Amino acid sequence: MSDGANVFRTRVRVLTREGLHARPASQIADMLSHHDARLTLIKDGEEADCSSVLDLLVLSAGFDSELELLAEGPDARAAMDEVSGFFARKFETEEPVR
Amino acid sequence: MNPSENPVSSFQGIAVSPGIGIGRVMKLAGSGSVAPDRIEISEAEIPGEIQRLHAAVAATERQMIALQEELRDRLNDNDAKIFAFHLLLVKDNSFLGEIERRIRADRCNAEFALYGALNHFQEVFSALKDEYLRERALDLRDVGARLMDNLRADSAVLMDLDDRRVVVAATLTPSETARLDSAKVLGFVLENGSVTSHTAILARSLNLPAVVGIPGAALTNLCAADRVIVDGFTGRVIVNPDSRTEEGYRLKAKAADEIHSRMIAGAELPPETIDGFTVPLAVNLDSASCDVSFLKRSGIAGIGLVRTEFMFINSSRLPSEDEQVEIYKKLLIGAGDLPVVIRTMDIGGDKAAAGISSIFEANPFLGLRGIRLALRERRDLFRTQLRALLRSGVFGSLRVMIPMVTSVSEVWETREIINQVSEELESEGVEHLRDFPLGVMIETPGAAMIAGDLSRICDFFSIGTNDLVQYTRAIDRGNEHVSYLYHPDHPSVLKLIKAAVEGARVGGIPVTVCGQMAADPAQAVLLAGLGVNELSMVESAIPLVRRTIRSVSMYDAVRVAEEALKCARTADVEALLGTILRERFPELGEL
Repeated sequence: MSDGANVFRTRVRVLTREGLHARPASQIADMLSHHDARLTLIKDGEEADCSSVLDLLVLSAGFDSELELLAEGPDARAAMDEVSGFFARKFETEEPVR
Repeated sequence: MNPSENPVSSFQGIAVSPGIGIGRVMKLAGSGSVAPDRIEISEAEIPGEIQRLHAAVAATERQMIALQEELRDRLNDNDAKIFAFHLLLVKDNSFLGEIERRIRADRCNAEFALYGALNHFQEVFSALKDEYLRERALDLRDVGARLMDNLRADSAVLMDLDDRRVVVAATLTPSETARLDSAKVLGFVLENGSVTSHTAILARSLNLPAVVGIPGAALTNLCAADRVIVDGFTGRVIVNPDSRTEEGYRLKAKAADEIHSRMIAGAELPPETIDGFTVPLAVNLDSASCDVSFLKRSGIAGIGLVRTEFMFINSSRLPSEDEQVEIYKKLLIGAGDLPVVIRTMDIGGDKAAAGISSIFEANPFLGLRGIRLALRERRDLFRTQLRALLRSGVFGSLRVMIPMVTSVSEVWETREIINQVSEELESEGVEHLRDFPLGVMIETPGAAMIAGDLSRICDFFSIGTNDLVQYTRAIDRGNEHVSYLYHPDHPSVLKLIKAAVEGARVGGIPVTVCGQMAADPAQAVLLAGLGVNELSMVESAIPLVRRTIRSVSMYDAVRVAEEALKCARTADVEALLGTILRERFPELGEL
């Protein structure tokens, strides 16, 4: 995994009942288009390229699942913060999660 | 590059539309499981094929953005999100990566690679535990179908048809069927479908043979070089027949044409029983049918059903109010003084609402379908349609009916919207009708049981027997495993029709039947005997039904109906119809 300087890792958790479904997956893929970075989400050894909504869905990350987020590239830090923040804010769902 | 011909073989399917079609194959694979032809490419052709893929992706993306722009004002938040998701899917790295990988590794055309990639992801998704995620495979299929269309658009093999072809597919959705150029079609061979599926209905209305229930594996092997015979009388499909077989079928086709023209003879005579009762016969049409000139010469009572959903699900964008007015106006002017019954959009069920409803349903036939979708999910589209109808009404004798009604409040709510849009048009100073006769489709047992209450608040009933059979006997129309239960003349269905007719008398309103049942000569007599006032059917069925009506007395028809209501089994009803009707018309057996 490249030169070290711009590689970051963190853990994120799915806080919505519906899990990582189509809307949040679309938003994550969309976030990446603003950053020069490559983000990978890893769940149980399965890797998903965050720029691919298909990959993200196939990850099948349900409620309360924990994932590893790996960021590389010039904007890695900013991209990672944006995506992990999005997880923390419950994918910005309007309705409170019961 | 040309795929080679298959050996002589034949398959037995289910005949759903009579006639004989002989010609070369055209395979459609948009959303079906029939593979597109695999065309081998050389190493040097790989970059060109990948470029073709990217051009198709760009075209698909442009179309989707244009569609989104077009609908901007009408989209709710949820629709917009689905659009955004689909836009990401069409250029998804994993998706395109998989297609490119297949083009390279399999040395095949982009269509075949796309087909393989879609199947691959279908498998990946179907292995997921989460039901919601599993069903996102449908989104990918939808996007994949658009992409396939664009790839096809530049593939000369399939588009530049110089001759008429036999259409081969796994499934044809109503929108795919409606997009076909019927002048180029000789007949249909499908893996899935039933007598009442939309393709079958369309095939019958176009007088084209259709056979369903042919194994997918057999269809996948067919290619454009193959000649097939479709026998819509027996359900036989013969691939690459020898010249003697083909000659035999040509004779059979000619004989069928002759029987058909014998039946048509006497078209100018009224549909009157021998004891002087008239059973008016009307035609069912799609909103796309512009040519209604046949109405004038054939003694047809009017247009008993105009389906409008195809203009919503068939086009790349939704029809505007003005466009709808143009379509309805053409029909109304064409029909002259004859009444035209337009059914408001019946979307949902098997008429998939892609791009119209964002709601995912596990059981769409029991979901937001017809008037439910119109009132709860897409009131905006419903209002626009009602505005267009009120505006077109000034050009002819318009009646409007609403589908899938199961409660009186749905009728009230519809009337309320009609009043609102009527006032709107008034204040805008646009020429329009204040109101039109409003009818209710009786297509569920629930509606039949409250027919008396419904009859007091609407102006006519139209019984949709295809759905009534489905909902009464709890059988999916498209499911071949339960098709043995699909009998319109089952006593349970007859009792509900009787209940609807009796209910209609409470409010003193007329009852039409517009399902497949009305087009069956024997069952048409049964319906007349049950007290149904008018029968509406595909134009091609009218000559035979008219001839049958002219050969019986209403006295007999009522007696048959009374006896039929006492039967416990379809077999008993059919025996009854058989003895009374089929003996008199030996030619019915020929068809």
